[in-house]
Amino acid sequence: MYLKQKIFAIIASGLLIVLISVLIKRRKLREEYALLWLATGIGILALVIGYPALVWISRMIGAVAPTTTLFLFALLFIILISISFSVRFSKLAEQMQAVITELAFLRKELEDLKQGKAAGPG
Amino acid sequence: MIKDAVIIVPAFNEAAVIAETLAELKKFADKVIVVDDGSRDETAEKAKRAGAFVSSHCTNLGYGAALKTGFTAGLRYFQEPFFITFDADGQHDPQYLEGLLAPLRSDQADYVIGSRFLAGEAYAAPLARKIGSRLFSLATSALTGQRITDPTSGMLALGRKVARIFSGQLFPFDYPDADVLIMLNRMGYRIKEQAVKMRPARRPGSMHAGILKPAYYMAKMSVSMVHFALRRDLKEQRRVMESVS
Repeated sequence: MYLKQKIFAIIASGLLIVLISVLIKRRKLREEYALLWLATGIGILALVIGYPALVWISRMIGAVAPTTTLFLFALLFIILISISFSVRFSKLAEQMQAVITELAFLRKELEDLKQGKAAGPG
Repeated sequence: MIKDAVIIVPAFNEAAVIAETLAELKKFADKVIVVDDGSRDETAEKAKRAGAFVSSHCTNLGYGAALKTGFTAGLRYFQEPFFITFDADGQHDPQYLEGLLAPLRSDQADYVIGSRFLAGEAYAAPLARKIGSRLFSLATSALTGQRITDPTSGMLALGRKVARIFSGQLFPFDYPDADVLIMLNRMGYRIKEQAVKMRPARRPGSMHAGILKPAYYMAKMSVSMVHFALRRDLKEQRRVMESVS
Protein backbone atom coordinates (compact mmCIF):
# COMPACT_ATOMS: atom_id res chain seq x y z
CA MET A 1 0.00 0.00 0.00
CA TYR A 2 1.44 3.34 -1.01
CA LEU A 3 2.01 6.05 1.57
CA LYS A 4 -0.42 8.36 -0.26
CA GLN A 5 -3.15 5.71 -0.10
CA LYS A 6 -2.50 5.24 3.62
CA ILE A 7 -2.65 8.98 4.30
CA PHE A 8 -5.88 9.32 2.30
CA ALA A 9 -7.52 6.36 4.11
CA ILE A 10 -6.46 7.72 7.53
CA ILE A 11 -7.78 11.23 6.73
CA ALA A 12 -11.08 9.89 5.29
CA SER A 13 -11.81 7.57 8.21
CA GLY A 14 -10.65 10.23 10.72
CA LEU A 15 -13.03 12.78 9.14
CA LEU A 16 -15.88 10.24 9.27
CA ILE A 17 -15.29 9.64 13.01
CA VAL A 18 -15.11 13.40 13.71
CA LEU A 19 -18.26 14.10 11.66
CA ILE A 20 -20.26 11.38 13.46
CA SER A 21 -18.98 12.57 16.87
CA VAL A 22 -19.98 16.18 16.11
CA LEU A 23 -23.44 15.07 14.94
CA ILE A 24 -23.94 13.09 18.15
CA LYS A 25 -22.73 16.02 20.26
CA ARG A 26 -25.14 18.41 18.55
CA ARG A 27 -27.97 15.87 19.06
CA LYS A 28 -28.52 15.65 15.30
CA LEU A 29 -27.75 11.93 15.36
CA ARG A 30 -28.81 9.49 18.05
CA GLU A 31 -26.11 7.21 19.47
CA GLU A 32 -27.95 4.02 18.50
CA TYR A 33 -27.91 5.07 14.84
CA ALA A 34 -24.27 6.17 14.97
CA LEU A 35 -22.73 2.92 16.19
CA LEU A 36 -22.29 1.29 12.79
CA TRP A 37 -20.91 4.49 11.25
CA LEU A 38 -18.36 4.81 14.05
CA ALA A 39 -17.48 1.13 13.65
CA THR A 40 -16.91 1.74 9.91
CA GLY A 41 -14.53 4.66 10.56
CA ILE A 42 -12.69 2.95 13.39
CA GLY A 43 -12.48 -0.33 11.43
CA ILE A 44 -10.89 1.31 8.39
CA LEU A 45 -8.53 3.34 10.58
CA ALA A 46 -7.46 0.22 12.49
CA LEU A 47 -6.82 -1.71 9.28
CA VAL A 48 -4.69 1.07 7.79
CA ILE A 49 -2.68 1.68 10.97
CA GLY A 50 -2.28 -2.04 11.64
CA TYR A 51 -1.03 -2.67 8.12
CA PRO A 52 0.37 -6.20 8.77
CA ALA A 53 -3.14 -7.26 9.88
CA LEU A 54 -4.56 -5.87 6.64
CA VAL A 55 -1.99 -7.83 4.63
CA TRP A 56 -2.78 -10.99 6.61
CA ILE A 57 -6.55 -10.60 6.08
CA SER A 58 -5.97 -9.95 2.36
CA ARG A 59 -4.03 -13.20 2.10
CA MET A 60 -6.73 -15.06 4.05
CA ILE A 61 -9.58 -13.92 1.82
CA GLY A 62 -7.57 -14.19 -1.40
CA ALA A 63 -7.57 -10.48 -2.22
CA VAL A 64 -4.92 -9.34 -4.71
CA ALA A 65 -4.04 -6.10 -2.92
CA PRO A 66 -4.63 -4.76 0.64
CA THR A 67 -6.53 -1.80 -0.82
CA THR A 68 -9.09 -4.26 -2.23
CA THR A 69 -9.62 -5.62 1.30
CA LEU A 70 -10.10 -2.09 2.57
CA PHE A 71 -12.78 -1.35 -0.06
CA LEU A 72 -14.40 -4.71 0.56
CA PHE A 73 -14.69 -4.00 4.29
CA ALA A 74 -16.03 -0.50 3.62
CA LEU A 75 -18.64 -2.00 1.27
CA LEU A 76 -19.60 -4.65 3.85
CA PHE A 77 -20.08 -1.98 6.50
CA ILE A 78 -22.27 0.05 4.15
CA ILE A 79 -24.39 -3.03 3.43
CA LEU A 80 -24.73 -3.62 7.17
CA ILE A 81 -25.72 0.00 7.70
CA SER A 82 -28.37 -0.28 4.94
CA ILE A 83 -29.80 -3.44 6.49
CA SER A 84 -29.93 -1.80 9.90
CA PHE A 85 -31.83 1.15 8.35
CA SER A 86 -34.29 -1.25 6.72
CA VAL A 87 -34.88 -2.92 10.08
CA ARG A 88 -35.45 0.44 11.74
CA PHE A 89 -37.78 1.60 8.93
CA SER A 90 -39.82 -1.57 9.34
CA LYS A 91 -40.13 -0.91 13.04
CA LEU A 92 -41.03 2.73 12.41
CA ALA A 93 -43.69 1.72 9.85
CA GLU A 94 -45.19 -0.60 12.48
CA GLN A 95 -45.19 2.16 15.09
CA MET A 96 -46.57 4.74 12.65
CA GLN A 97 -49.42 2.43 11.71
CA ALA A 98 -50.31 1.94 15.38
CA VAL A 99 -50.18 5.70 16.07
CA ILE A 100 -52.35 6.53 13.03
CA THR A 101 -54.91 3.90 14.04
CA GLU A 102 -55.08 5.30 17.58
CA LEU A 103 -55.32 8.83 16.19
CA ALA A 104 -58.23 7.77 13.98
CA PHE A 105 -60.06 6.41 17.04
CA LEU A 106 -59.30 9.50 19.12
CA ARG A 107 -60.65 11.74 16.35
CA LYS A 108 -63.80 9.64 16.17
CA GLU A 109 -64.26 9.69 19.96
CA LEU A 110 -63.66 13.45 20.10
CA GLU A 111 -66.18 14.04 17.33
CA ASP A 112 -68.73 11.89 19.14
CA LEU A 113 -68.08 13.72 22.40
CA LYS A 114 -68.56 17.11 20.69
CA GLN A 115 -71.85 15.85 19.29
CA GLY A 116 -72.85 14.73 22.78
CA LYS A 117 -73.02 11.00 22.12
CA ALA A 118 -71.01 8.16 23.57
CA ALA A 119 -68.21 6.88 21.36
CA GLY A 120 -69.18 3.65 19.73
CA PRO A 121 -71.32 2.15 17.02
CA GLY A 122 -73.48 4.37 14.88
CA MET B 1 -80.97 -8.24 8.22
CA ILE B 2 -77.62 -9.42 9.60
CA LYS B 3 -77.36 -8.72 13.33
CA ASP B 4 -74.34 -10.77 14.34
CA ALA B 5 -71.67 -9.32 12.05
CA VAL B 6 -69.95 -6.01 11.46
CA ILE B 7 -69.07 -5.14 7.88
CA ILE B 8 -65.65 -3.53 7.42
CA VAL B 9 -65.25 -1.34 4.34
CA PRO B 10 -61.76 0.04 3.63
CA ALA B 11 -62.01 3.09 1.40
CA PHE B 12 -59.53 5.38 -0.32
CA ASN B 13 -60.87 8.21 -2.48
CA GLU B 14 -64.22 6.48 -3.00
CA ALA B 15 -66.48 9.56 -2.65
CA ALA B 16 -68.05 8.90 -6.05
CA VAL B 17 -69.37 5.48 -5.07
CA ILE B 18 -69.32 5.08 -1.27
CA ALA B 19 -72.86 6.40 -0.66
CA GLU B 20 -74.35 3.99 -3.19
CA THR B 21 -72.36 1.04 -1.83
CA LEU B 22 -73.35 1.80 1.77
CA ALA B 23 -77.01 2.39 0.88
CA GLU B 24 -77.12 -1.08 -0.68
CA LEU B 25 -75.14 -2.62 2.18
CA LYS B 26 -77.44 -1.12 4.82
CA LYS B 27 -80.33 -3.17 3.42
CA PHE B 28 -78.48 -6.31 4.50
CA ALA B 29 -76.41 -5.32 7.54
CA ASP B 30 -76.88 -2.81 10.29
CA LYS B 31 -73.33 -2.33 11.57
CA VAL B 32 -70.81 -0.96 9.08
CA ILE B 33 -67.32 0.37 9.74
CA VAL B 34 -65.75 2.49 7.02
CA VAL B 35 -62.01 3.01 7.32
CA ASP B 36 -61.15 6.09 5.33
CA ASP B 37 -57.49 5.51 4.46
CA GLY B 38 -56.40 9.13 4.15
CA SER B 39 -58.75 10.04 1.29
CA ARG B 40 -58.37 13.46 -0.30
CA ASP B 41 -62.06 13.60 -1.25
CA GLU B 42 -65.35 13.44 0.67
CA THR B 43 -65.27 9.70 1.35
CA ALA B 44 -65.43 10.08 5.14
CA GLU B 45 -68.19 12.72 5.14
CA LYS B 46 -70.36 10.69 2.76
CA ALA B 47 -69.83 7.53 4.79
CA LYS B 48 -70.82 9.37 7.99
CA ARG B 49 -73.96 10.71 6.32
CA ALA B 50 -74.78 7.14 5.27
CA GLY B 51 -74.76 6.14 8.95
CA ALA B 52 -71.48 4.19 9.07
CA PHE B 53 -68.98 4.15 11.92
CA VAL B 54 -66.09 6.03 10.31
CA SER B 55 -62.42 5.90 11.32
CA SER B 56 -60.18 8.20 9.31
CA HIS B 57 -56.44 7.72 8.86
CA CYS B 58 -54.66 11.08 8.70
CA THR B 59 -52.53 9.72 5.85
CA ASN B 60 -52.76 6.90 3.31
CA LEU B 61 -51.30 3.69 4.75
CA GLY B 62 -52.52 0.99 2.38
CA TYR B 63 -55.28 -1.59 2.06
CA GLY B 64 -53.95 -3.95 4.73
CA ALA B 65 -53.44 -1.15 7.25
CA ALA B 66 -57.01 0.07 6.64
CA LEU B 67 -58.32 -3.45 7.27
CA LYS B 68 -56.22 -3.66 10.41
CA THR B 69 -57.76 -0.44 11.72
CA GLY B 70 -61.18 -1.84 10.81
CA PHE B 71 -60.59 -5.02 12.82
CA THR B 72 -59.19 -3.05 15.76
CA ALA B 73 -62.25 -0.75 15.71
CA GLY B 74 -64.54 -3.77 15.44
CA LEU B 75 -62.95 -5.45 18.45
CA ARG B 76 -62.89 -2.27 20.50
CA TYR B 77 -66.27 -0.69 19.78
CA PHE B 78 -68.53 -3.58 18.72
CA GLN B 79 -69.66 -6.78 20.44
CA GLU B 80 -70.76 -8.75 17.35
CA PRO B 81 -69.02 -12.14 17.00
CA PHE B 82 -68.24 -11.90 13.27
CA PHE B 83 -66.69 -9.50 10.77
CA ILE B 84 -66.94 -9.33 6.99
CA THR B 85 -64.61 -7.32 4.76
CA PHE B 86 -66.31 -5.64 1.85
CA ASP B 87 -64.96 -3.44 -0.97
CA ALA B 88 -66.18 0.13 -1.30
CA ASP B 89 -66.18 0.15 -5.09
CA GLY B 90 -69.34 -1.92 -5.51
CA GLN B 91 -67.65 -5.11 -6.79
CA HIS B 92 -68.97 -7.11 -3.87
CA ASP B 93 -72.62 -8.13 -3.83
CA PRO B 94 -74.21 -8.01 -0.34
CA GLN B 95 -76.56 -10.85 -1.27
CA TYR B 96 -73.67 -13.21 -0.51
CA LEU B 97 -73.05 -11.96 3.03
CA GLU B 98 -75.36 -14.54 4.64
CA GLY B 99 -73.66 -17.33 2.68
CA LEU B 100 -70.26 -16.20 3.93
CA LEU B 101 -71.43 -16.18 7.53
CA ALA B 102 -73.05 -19.64 7.43
CA PRO B 103 -69.83 -21.71 7.99
CA LEU B 104 -68.86 -19.40 10.89
CA ARG B 105 -72.27 -19.65 12.55
CA SER B 106 -72.28 -23.44 12.27
CA ASP B 107 -68.68 -23.57 13.53
CA GLN B 108 -67.44 -25.30 10.39
CA ALA B 109 -64.78 -22.68 9.73
CA ASP B 110 -62.85 -19.83 11.37
CA TYR B 111 -62.20 -17.95 8.14
CA VAL B 112 -64.38 -17.86 5.04
CA ILE B 113 -63.28 -16.66 1.61
CA GLY B 114 -65.82 -15.44 -0.92
CA SER B 115 -64.49 -17.21 -4.01
CA ARG B 116 -65.15 -15.95 -7.52
CA PHE B 117 -63.97 -19.22 -9.01
CA LEU B 118 -65.61 -21.88 -6.87
CA ALA B 119 -68.77 -22.02 -8.96
CA GLY B 120 -66.57 -22.36 -12.04
CA GLU B 121 -67.75 -19.10 -13.52
CA ALA B 122 -65.46 -16.95 -15.63
CA TYR B 123 -64.28 -13.76 -13.91
CA ALA B 124 -63.66 -10.77 -16.14
CA ALA B 125 -60.06 -9.72 -15.44
CA PRO B 126 -56.96 -8.96 -17.53
CA LEU B 127 -55.01 -12.05 -18.60
CA ALA B 128 -51.93 -11.16 -16.52
CA ARG B 129 -54.04 -10.91 -13.38
CA LYS B 130 -55.80 -14.18 -14.17
CA ILE B 131 -52.43 -15.92 -14.55
CA GLY B 132 -51.13 -14.35 -11.33
CA SER B 133 -54.28 -15.31 -9.47
CA ARG B 134 -54.05 -18.89 -10.75
CA LEU B 135 -50.38 -19.16 -9.73
CA PHE B 136 -51.15 -17.93 -6.22
CA SER B 137 -54.09 -20.29 -6.05
CA LEU B 138 -51.85 -23.26 -6.91
CA ALA B 139 -49.10 -22.16 -4.50
CA THR B 140 -51.55 -21.52 -1.65
CA SER B 141 -53.30 -24.84 -2.20
CA ALA B 142 -49.94 -26.64 -2.14
CA LEU B 143 -48.76 -24.84 1.00
CA THR B 144 -52.02 -25.19 2.95
CA GLY B 145 -52.85 -28.70 1.81
CA GLN B 146 -56.38 -27.74 0.81
CA ARG B 147 -57.90 -26.45 -2.40
CA ILE B 148 -58.00 -22.64 -2.40
CA THR B 149 -59.49 -21.28 -5.61
CA ASP B 150 -59.45 -17.55 -4.84
CA PRO B 151 -56.69 -16.52 -2.43
CA THR B 152 -56.81 -12.86 -3.53
CA SER B 153 -60.51 -12.30 -2.79
CA GLY B 154 -61.29 -9.26 -0.64
CA MET B 155 -64.67 -10.59 0.48
CA LEU B 156 -63.94 -12.45 3.70
CA ALA B 157 -65.72 -13.45 6.87
CA LEU B 158 -64.06 -14.19 10.19
CA GLY B 159 -64.65 -14.38 13.90
CA ARG B 160 -63.22 -12.29 16.72
CA LYS B 161 -60.29 -14.66 17.37
CA VAL B 162 -58.97 -14.30 13.83
CA ALA B 163 -59.73 -10.56 13.89
CA ARG B 164 -57.50 -10.29 16.96
CA ILE B 165 -54.66 -11.95 15.01
CA PHE B 166 -55.31 -9.50 12.14
CA SER B 167 -55.18 -6.51 14.45
CA GLY B 168 -51.69 -7.57 15.59
CA GLN B 169 -48.19 -7.29 14.16
CA LEU B 170 -48.36 -10.28 11.81
CA PHE B 171 -50.94 -8.72 9.51
CA PRO B 172 -49.39 -7.06 6.42
CA PHE B 173 -49.86 -3.33 5.73
CA ASP B 174 -50.29 -3.50 1.97
CA TYR B 175 -51.87 -6.58 0.40
CA PRO B 176 -53.04 -9.25 2.81
CA ASP B 177 -53.99 -12.18 0.56
CA ALA B 178 -52.45 -15.61 0.06
CA ASP B 179 -49.79 -15.03 2.74
CA VAL B 180 -52.47 -14.52 5.37
CA LEU B 181 -54.13 -17.79 4.36
CA ILE B 182 -50.87 -19.65 4.87
CA MET B 183 -50.40 -17.90 8.23
CA LEU B 184 -53.91 -18.93 9.39
CA ASN B 185 -53.39 -22.47 8.11
CA ARG B 186 -50.12 -22.77 10.02
CA MET B 187 -51.87 -21.43 13.13
CA GLY B 188 -54.42 -24.22 12.84
CA TYR B 189 -57.46 -22.12 11.89
CA ARG B 190 -60.03 -23.72 9.59
CA ILE B 191 -60.40 -22.03 6.19
CA LYS B 192 -63.39 -22.51 3.91
CA GLU B 193 -64.46 -21.05 0.59
CA GLN B 194 -67.99 -20.05 -0.36
CA ALA B 195 -69.01 -19.24 -3.92
CA VAL B 196 -69.77 -15.58 -4.63
CA LYS B 197 -70.27 -13.57 -7.78
CA MET B 198 -68.52 -10.25 -8.24
CA ARG B 199 -69.75 -7.34 -10.27
CA PRO B 200 -67.81 -4.76 -12.25
CA ALA B 201 -66.60 -1.92 -10.03
CA ARG B 202 -68.75 1.23 -9.93
CA ARG B 203 -65.69 3.29 -10.81
CA PRO B 204 -62.68 2.65 -13.07
CA GLY B 205 -59.22 1.89 -11.69
CA SER B 206 -57.71 -0.80 -9.50
CA MET B 207 -55.07 -0.91 -6.77
CA HIS B 208 -53.22 -3.42 -8.98
CA ALA B 209 -53.17 -1.16 -12.07
CA GLY B 210 -49.94 -0.43 -14.00
CA ILE B 211 -46.80 -2.52 -14.22
CA LEU B 212 -44.75 -1.70 -11.13
CA LYS B 213 -47.50 -2.30 -8.58
CA PRO B 214 -48.41 -5.79 -9.83
CA ALA B 215 -44.70 -6.65 -10.07
CA TYR B 216 -44.15 -5.45 -6.50
CA TYR B 217 -47.28 -7.33 -5.39
CA MET B 218 -46.09 -10.60 -6.94
CA ALA B 219 -42.58 -10.30 -5.48
CA LYS B 220 -43.71 -9.19 -2.03
CA MET B 221 -46.46 -11.80 -1.84
CA SER B 222 -44.07 -14.59 -2.83
CA VAL B 223 -41.57 -13.57 -0.12
CA SER B 224 -44.35 -13.23 2.43
CA MET B 225 -45.83 -16.65 1.55
CA VAL B 226 -42.45 -18.37 1.92
CA HIS B 227 -41.86 -16.51 5.19
CA PHE B 228 -45.13 -17.73 6.72
CA ALA B 229 -44.67 -21.23 5.29
CA LEU B 230 -41.27 -21.54 6.98
CA ARG B 231 -42.23 -20.07 10.35
CA ARG B 232 -42.54 -22.60 13.11
CA ASP B 233 -43.86 -20.34 15.88
CA LEU B 234 -47.30 -19.53 14.46
CA LYS B 235 -49.23 -21.97 16.67
CA GLU B 236 -47.48 -20.39 19.66
CA GLN B 237 -48.39 -16.91 18.36
CA ARG B 238 -52.02 -18.02 18.16
CA ARG B 239 -51.90 -19.37 21.71
CA VAL B 240 -50.45 -16.09 23.00
CA MET B 241 -52.98 -13.93 21.10
CA GLU B 242 -55.90 -16.04 22.27
CA SER B 243 -54.69 -16.08 25.87
CA VAL B 244 -54.68 -12.27 26.10
CA SER B 245 -58.19 -11.94 24.64
